[in-house]
Amino acid sequence: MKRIACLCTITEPEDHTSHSENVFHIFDSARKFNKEQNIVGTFLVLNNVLLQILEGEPSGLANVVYRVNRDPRISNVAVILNTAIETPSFTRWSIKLLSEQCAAHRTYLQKIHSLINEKSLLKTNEDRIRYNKIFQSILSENIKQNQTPEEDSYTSTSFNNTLLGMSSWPRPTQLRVNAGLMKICPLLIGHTIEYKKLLELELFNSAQELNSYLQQLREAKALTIIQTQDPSNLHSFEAHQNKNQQTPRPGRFSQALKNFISGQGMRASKP
Amino acid sequence: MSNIYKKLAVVGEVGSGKTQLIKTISEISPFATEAKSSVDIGKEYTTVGIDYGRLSLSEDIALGLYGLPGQKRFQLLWDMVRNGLWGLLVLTKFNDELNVKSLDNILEHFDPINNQIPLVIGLTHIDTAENDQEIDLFIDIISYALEQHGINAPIVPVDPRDIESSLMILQLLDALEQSSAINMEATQNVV
Ligand SMILES: Cc1cc2nc3c(=O)[nH]c(=O)nc-3n(C[C@H](O)[C@H](O)[C@H](O)COP(=O)(O)O)c2cc1C
Ligand SMILES: Nc1nc2c(ncn2[C@@H]2O[C@H](COP(=O)(O)OP(=O)(O)O)[C@@H](O)[C@H]2O)c(=O)[nH]1
Ligand SMILES: [Mg+2]
Repeated sequence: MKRIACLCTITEPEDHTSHSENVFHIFDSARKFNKEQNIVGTFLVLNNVLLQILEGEPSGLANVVYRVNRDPRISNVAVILNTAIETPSFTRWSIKLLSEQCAAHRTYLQKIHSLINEKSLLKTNEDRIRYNKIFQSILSENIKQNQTPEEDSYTSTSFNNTLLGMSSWPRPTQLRVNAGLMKICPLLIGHTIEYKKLLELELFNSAQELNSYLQQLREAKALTIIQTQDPSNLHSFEAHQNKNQQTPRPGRFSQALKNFISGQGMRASKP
Repeated sequence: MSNIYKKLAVVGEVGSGKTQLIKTISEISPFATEAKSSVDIGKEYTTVGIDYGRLSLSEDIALGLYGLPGQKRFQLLWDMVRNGLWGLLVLTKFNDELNVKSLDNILEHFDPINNQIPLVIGLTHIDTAENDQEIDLFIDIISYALEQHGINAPIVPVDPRDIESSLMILQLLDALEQSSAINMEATQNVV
């Protein structure tokens, strides 16, 4: 049995096909073909760079490489790893679509990186660039971690003096959005907000309730927490201006909907 | 007080659960006496292929539910409900081949960011999934497609046959709408 890693560039589609549709079609045909050839592995995409890790019998892998080389949607194919293995490290064939900002796949990327790293044959400069692009988030993450070792020892009681944000919604497989999360996630996604301001909005009956939802997000690794260095001076002007800010009163429609849904919930929970 | 009528567009491929969702929500409408007039008003839509339903919240407040087919060739129907939309719900059937092109077209047409329409992607038929990895994979593909439009919308499982699950979508759309008012003043956009 063998493991190979193959770097490619996804070519710009000529017709009106969008990039995402193009990627999807390449993945979908690979999925079918690899199933026939009993190949497992992964398909990592970042912008126009595609890295495939494939595990299977040598003849099947040869077929894949032959096919990939002939695929007009893909160019610059480079096999950067070719090694014999005892047992596969993948159980199926999957796709991971990466994005520059997203940290969600970090652990996964680290695992892949360790599978290839020492044995990889990056022959050209271009291969090195493409390879680093795929792994940039963990490579830069390593640097960050070295700089802020205290990040992990963060405790739930200390949201004070922090700036909070989220880059994306929590995955339903990790954390189901509940009524409380519904209130705070839209404020955090793609934004940063001071914890203090979140408290002032009085979205919940108590600070503990707010903290418990923030804690859920933190545990699902969906929350970005930035410690603000000097809480007394930083943003003090803004904070002062907004001192009496509260949640804007919902309009009549929103209020009617809320009443209806909560009434409905009570009906449903009756025996 | 004046009447309030808002519209929710439910867009999705055949079998994604549009009809079911609209039926589930409309049936719990407490103002049963209105059922007949609702059918009457809905007739003009049903004849052109729009599912129509209504959730009456009081005598003078209602949410119209408009189920629209997902393909671009139905753009004329999309236009019938595009103005004054309160929310956009895109239903995708789990493990059907995701029609990325159709998702692209819907997002381009309704342009939820510029039009400030709360958007939720509902994942139906998730009960047919064998494991979480399968669901994650499907969500990966959808979020990737959303990202191409600069959109960061919640992707949530929904079972249109279930009242609570269906209402949760309305609750989420309401939360998104409410928070956009707060976002204007209290938060900083991340560039
Ligand atoms: C309780 C209630 C139910 C309504 N139901 C419908 C309806 O089913 N279909 C529809 O097209 N308009 C419906 N409307 C909208 C009214 O017919 C009318 O068009 C609307 O209140 C005025 O909106 P406009 O200012 O956008 O024209 C409803 C309005 C209310 C208050
Ligand atoms: N098991 C299951 N069935 C569903 C789900 N959502 C919808 N259905 C069923 O799928 C079928 C097609 O749904 P329908 O609402 O007609 O889809 P439409 O074509 O989008 O209007 C109906 O029988 C629904 O009851 C779901 O989440 N799980
Ligand atoms: Mg239908």
